[in-house]
Amino acid sequence: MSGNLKRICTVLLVLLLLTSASVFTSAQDEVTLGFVYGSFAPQEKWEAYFEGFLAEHPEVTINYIPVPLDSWGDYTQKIVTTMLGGERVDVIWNAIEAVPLMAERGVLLELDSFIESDPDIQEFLDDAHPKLLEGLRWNDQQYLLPFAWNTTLIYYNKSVLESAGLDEPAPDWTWDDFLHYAQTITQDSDGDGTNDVWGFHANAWLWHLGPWAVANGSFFLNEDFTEPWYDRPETIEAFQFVHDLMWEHGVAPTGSFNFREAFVAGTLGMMIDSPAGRQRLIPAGMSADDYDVNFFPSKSGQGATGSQWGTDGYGITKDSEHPDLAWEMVKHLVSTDVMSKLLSGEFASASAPARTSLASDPVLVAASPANYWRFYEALEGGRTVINAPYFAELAEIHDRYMSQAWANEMSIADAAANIQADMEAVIADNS
Amino acid sequence: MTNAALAKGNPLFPDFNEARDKLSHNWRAYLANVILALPLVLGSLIMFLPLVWAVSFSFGQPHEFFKLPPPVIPSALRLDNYDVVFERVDFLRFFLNSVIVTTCVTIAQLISCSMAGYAFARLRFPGKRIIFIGFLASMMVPQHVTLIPVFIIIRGMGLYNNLGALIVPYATSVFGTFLLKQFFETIPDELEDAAKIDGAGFLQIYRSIMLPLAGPPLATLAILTFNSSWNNFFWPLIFINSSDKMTLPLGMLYLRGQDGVTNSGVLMAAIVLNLVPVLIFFLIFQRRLVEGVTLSGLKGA
Amino acid sequence: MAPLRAGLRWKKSKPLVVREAIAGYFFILPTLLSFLVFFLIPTISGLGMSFFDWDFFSEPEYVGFDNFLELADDKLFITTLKNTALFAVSATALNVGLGMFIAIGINSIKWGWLKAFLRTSYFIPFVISTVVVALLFGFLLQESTGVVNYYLTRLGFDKVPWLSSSLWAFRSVVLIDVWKHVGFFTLIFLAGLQAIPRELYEAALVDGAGRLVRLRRITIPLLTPSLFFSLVIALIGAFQVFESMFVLTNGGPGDATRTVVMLLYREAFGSFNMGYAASMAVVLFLVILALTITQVRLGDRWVFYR
Repeated sequence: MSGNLKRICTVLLVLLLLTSASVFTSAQDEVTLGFVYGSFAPQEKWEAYFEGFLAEHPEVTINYIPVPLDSWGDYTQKIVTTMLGGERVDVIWNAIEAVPLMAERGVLLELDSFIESDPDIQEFLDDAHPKLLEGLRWNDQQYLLPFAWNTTLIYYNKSVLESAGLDEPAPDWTWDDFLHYAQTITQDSDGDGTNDVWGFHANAWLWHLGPWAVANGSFFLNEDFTEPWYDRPETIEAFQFVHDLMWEHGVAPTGSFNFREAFVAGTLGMMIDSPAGRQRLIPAGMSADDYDVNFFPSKSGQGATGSQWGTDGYGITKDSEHPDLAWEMVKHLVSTDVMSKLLSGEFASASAPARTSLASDPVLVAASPANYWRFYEALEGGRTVINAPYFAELAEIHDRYMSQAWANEMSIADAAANIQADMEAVIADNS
Repeated sequence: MTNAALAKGNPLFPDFNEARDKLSHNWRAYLANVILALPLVLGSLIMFLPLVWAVSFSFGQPHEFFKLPPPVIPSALRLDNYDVVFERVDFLRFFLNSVIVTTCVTIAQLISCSMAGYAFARLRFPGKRIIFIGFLASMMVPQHVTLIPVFIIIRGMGLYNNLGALIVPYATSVFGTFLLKQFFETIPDELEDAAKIDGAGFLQIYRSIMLPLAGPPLATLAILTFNSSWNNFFWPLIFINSSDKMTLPLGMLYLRGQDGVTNSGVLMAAIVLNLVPVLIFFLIFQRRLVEGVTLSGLKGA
Repeated sequence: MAPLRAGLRWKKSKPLVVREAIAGYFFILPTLLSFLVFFLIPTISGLGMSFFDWDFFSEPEYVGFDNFLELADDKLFITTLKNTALFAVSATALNVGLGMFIAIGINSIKWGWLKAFLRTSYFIPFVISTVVVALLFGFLLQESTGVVNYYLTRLGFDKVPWLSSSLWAFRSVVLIDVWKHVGFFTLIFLAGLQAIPRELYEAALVDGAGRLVRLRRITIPLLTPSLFFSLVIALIGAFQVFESMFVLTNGGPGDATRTVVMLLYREAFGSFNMGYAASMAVVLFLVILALTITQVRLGDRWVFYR
């Protein structure tokens, strides 16, 4: 046994040495830049973004810090904890939702001085969609440079529509048209009480619910997110329509439902998704000809094309010891070269590229359905996702009551009234 | 004449009556056993069925999940979902991290708990009682009280987002110390005295007398520690942020959040990949594990 | 002469008592250090922290009992406390109650192989991590397309909104907890049953006591120590419940399945309200402490010690 003990001690010692070695090896002569990214895509795919930059700056090593991305709120919280935990971060990939919070917390560096003193960036500023650039500003400062953006539309599975005897929907369809589509698609072919095909799937998520309100001339809150609009009849009416699809008409399943899986399997006719949704359909074996996208329907067919949009981007931390090098890296990341990796949908993300010059790129067109341009329309007339310093609190309030409405335990009107009151309180607390 | 009377009066079969009674008694016991076992067996099905479903769905393709009734036996052994798991996340890395953390924690606890257990059981030193009572009292305090200060300490040690954060705080346990102390107290004094007479120091006594005898309680401790460390979730959730440092439970949650996982079969495949090593571990060490739980129960009672 | 030799050797160095004390401290050193660094100091500072307002970015500010006063007024905290208590009571009752009856059942089966099989199958879920369990049930319990609901409708029942309605989501997390832990308690009771002397049953048989009488008069009274132990540890564990809800329902719908630890985690590492989170931990600790003390006090009245 004492021999065993010796062996155990040796193993322990070796393991300790190994762990401590891995802790201390980062102390080297060259420059290391910490890069935080959402680890929904593996590191190799992000590494592809840096090839050109590393060739140009051989002294740089990138310390990839993958952070899980469940929601932008959690992601941002984890970045802040990572930095509190003592990890050196130079460049951050994050989304518009988090800009106000990270700016107010003093995490992000203002980029305006870099922009003014660097003529190279003008080309990008001219090319990037102005709404995206504007969206990533806070308190008159640019904090992130836009990379890829998203908005939501209605995806429809063409073969499901076809087998239900439906033509492709008109862009200015009404709620009645939409309900008719959903009802026609929904089927219980073997009569076992469980629908085999569903017309639609409705989530209570902000990201999915917002466009219904936009298409009805309203939204969650006003433009600068200081005044909740859950008390407006247009908002309530829009949410009620979606709610009725589940509880009144039975054309959308209740409870958790893997809608993307069902869409691919042909057991769901219509769903809500973004340009990034293409990336989920490609590996599932769905080609761009198998589905298409349409605007959200409006109550009376007024043809509202706007949806709700958000964008991601790259920024620099205030902690960075090499801000100039970090700026070079950010510039590289938003270059045409890197951004065109988005187009095929096979790299880290399949969101739409921020550069307008890439909008009609043949690679993008080939990987996208015929009506892909509707995403651009939806961005043009759309509202930004909630981006206030207290966005996580607002999101939580929405989820709290809407989830109860979705379980049909609270009426939409009551949920909206509760949300209105709670959001007003949070906003008052923060102003 | 009834059969019974016939049997009773039949000199050719003197034991017939007794034999018949015995038979009916056996038969009744058999029936009682079956009646008793039936709900228990049904209950054990509830324990098994979810695991069986996980396996069968892990071979399935999206369209099959919506084809009800769900096939209990997969139509084909398609490994596509397993491929996707390895493609989407660095599953082997999660596994390796779990192995590293669990191994270090287990070895560290075996050493530290046996040392402390020995001291508390067999050595006299001032403050022993107070310290031991303090140890025991700490079992009452939920770890959430210490959470934020420990976060700051771990950060100060430079262990944040490092596997060390999952090892160092678990390098010893009060439960293990208690378990070993109870055991060492049962060792007869004579064994120790003989060694003392031969001039053995305390370290030598610990190493060559105490440890060799402590095989069973150490094995029990090792297995219980291994199991709880392997399944630890809350600690990694707080101290690990990057996916290359994740252990399996956190990695599973992370896999679910992956954008590209459109197919529930992939999640099921990952679940099966989690179950296999745990079940193998369970089958090998089942006896010890059961003993360990039993022992901890008896000690408490 | 061996004793003499040893005696001489010891005389040379420090007296035995001192050497023994030094050895004692040496042997407990790793455990003691870890206890100080990861328990005692953090506990004291954790208690202290609950009197401060601190967001990690600025200087902590002493606020006295404000955090606790705020907690008493915090509707969400009260809700989570209620949820946690209800969860703890129902999960404990089911785990311990079922565990006891399963153990008694298994123990009275005559066939060894079936006994072993049943013991194994009830215990298996205990070794699976809670996250895996939660993810698995999240899939099986889907309302519209889940396997479980499919078979329920086949048997003529209505679909159950397992995870989507407030009431059922709560019941589901309790049931899943029981699925995972009942085997553990079964084992504890099996050990307790093993410890009951056979002679007691034999004596009862001689007296002509039936199955039920033996159960009521011998088995259950002699199981009370195991029952007491199970109740105490089940309740302590259940009050700290976090994982299954965190993974399965994220506290919803509404706040129906949100627990104290979930709220604490979010306050600390989501909103960085460190002091406020610390005061929640203190309340949780006090609740657990009070319940355990009550249990021990009451235990003296009903636990049968031989």
